[in-house]
Amino acid sequence: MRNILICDDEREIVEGLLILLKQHEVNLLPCYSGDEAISILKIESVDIVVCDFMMPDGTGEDVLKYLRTRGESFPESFIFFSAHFNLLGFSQPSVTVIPKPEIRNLIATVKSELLRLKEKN
Amino acid sequence: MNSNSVTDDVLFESAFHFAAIGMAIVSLEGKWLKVNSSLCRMLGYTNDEFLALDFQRLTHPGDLEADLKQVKALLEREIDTYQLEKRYFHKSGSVVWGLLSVSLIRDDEGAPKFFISQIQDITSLKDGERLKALLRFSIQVAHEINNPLTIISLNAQTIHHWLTLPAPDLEKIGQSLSVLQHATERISAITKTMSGLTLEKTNIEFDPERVLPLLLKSFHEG
Repeated sequence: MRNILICDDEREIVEGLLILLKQHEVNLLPCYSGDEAISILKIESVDIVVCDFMMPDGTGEDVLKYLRTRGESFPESFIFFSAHFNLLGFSQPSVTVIPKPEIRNLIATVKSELLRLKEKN
Repeated sequence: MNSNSVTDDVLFESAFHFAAIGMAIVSLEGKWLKVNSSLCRMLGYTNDEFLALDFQRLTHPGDLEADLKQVKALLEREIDTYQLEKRYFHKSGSVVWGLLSVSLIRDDEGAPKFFISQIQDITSLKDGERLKALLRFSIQVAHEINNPLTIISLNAQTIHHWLTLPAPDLEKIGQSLSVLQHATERISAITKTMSGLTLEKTNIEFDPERVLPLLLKSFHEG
C-alpha cells in the first residue's frame, strides 16, 4: 500500500482529503504543519507528498528543502497544493503545483501518480 | 560688491532657476518668497500665484504635522537639515509626492532668516510602490478566499461520494454541510469587509499597506 502524506494547516482541508483519498487503498499520513511533516518524513517512507505552501510552523518550502537535502531518496511525487500565487511558474523536478481550490485536479493527479507507481512495479 | 560676489550671485540665480528639481525660499511662517520654474511646473501654479500662498496650504493634511515638527526642530537647532517624503496638492487638486529637503539659513547673529527647500517629484516612484502594494494586497485576499473555497469544493465532493453509497450516512453528510456553511461564511466575511472598505473609505486615500493588516485581522477573527 502506498504512503501519502497530507499536510495543511487548515484541518478541514486535511480531513476532506482523507475522506476522498481513502477510497484509493492508500495509507494516509495527515499532518498540520511543515515541522510535523518533517518529523513524519524522518521515520516513514512516503511515496506521495501533498503539501500546502504557507503554514505558520514550517512552510511547504521547508519540507521540500528537507527532502532535497536529507541525502535519501526523494518521494515519487511532491505536490504543492496551495493558494499561494507566487508558486505559479514554480518548476522543480518531481514537484507539481496545483492551485487551490482545484480539488478535482489534485485528486486526478494523485490517482494518476498511483496508477503510474502501480505500473512501475 | 566685488566681481566675485556678482559671479556667485549669478551662479546662485542660475542654479536656482534652471535646477531640474523644484527649489524655493520660504519664510519662517511658511510663505513662498521665491520659487523656481521646476516647482511651478510640478505644482501647476505661476510664480505670482505661488507668492500669494504658503506651504501649509499646498501640503496634504496627512503630512502637515510631520513637516511642522521638523520645522520646529530646525528652528530649535535640534537638527541642521531634514528630508521628508510628503504629499503636495497640485493646482488641479491631484496629489503630487515630493521628496523635500530643507535647510535653515541664519543671519550673522544666528537668528533664523528663511528656509531653502528642494523638492523632487517622486510621484511616479510612489505610484509604482502603491501598485506593488495593491498587487500584494490582491494576492493576499485571493489567498484568503481560496482556502475556504477549497473546503467548499472538498466537502461538495465528499457529500457527492457519500450519496453514491448504498446507505448514505446522513449524520456525516450533515456535518459536512455545516463545514461547507462555515466556509461560505468565511468568504462572506471577507467580501463584507472588502465592500465595507469601499463604501466607507472612498473619501480617503486607499493605502493597501495600512488596510491589509486590518483586513487580515478581521478575516481571522471571522
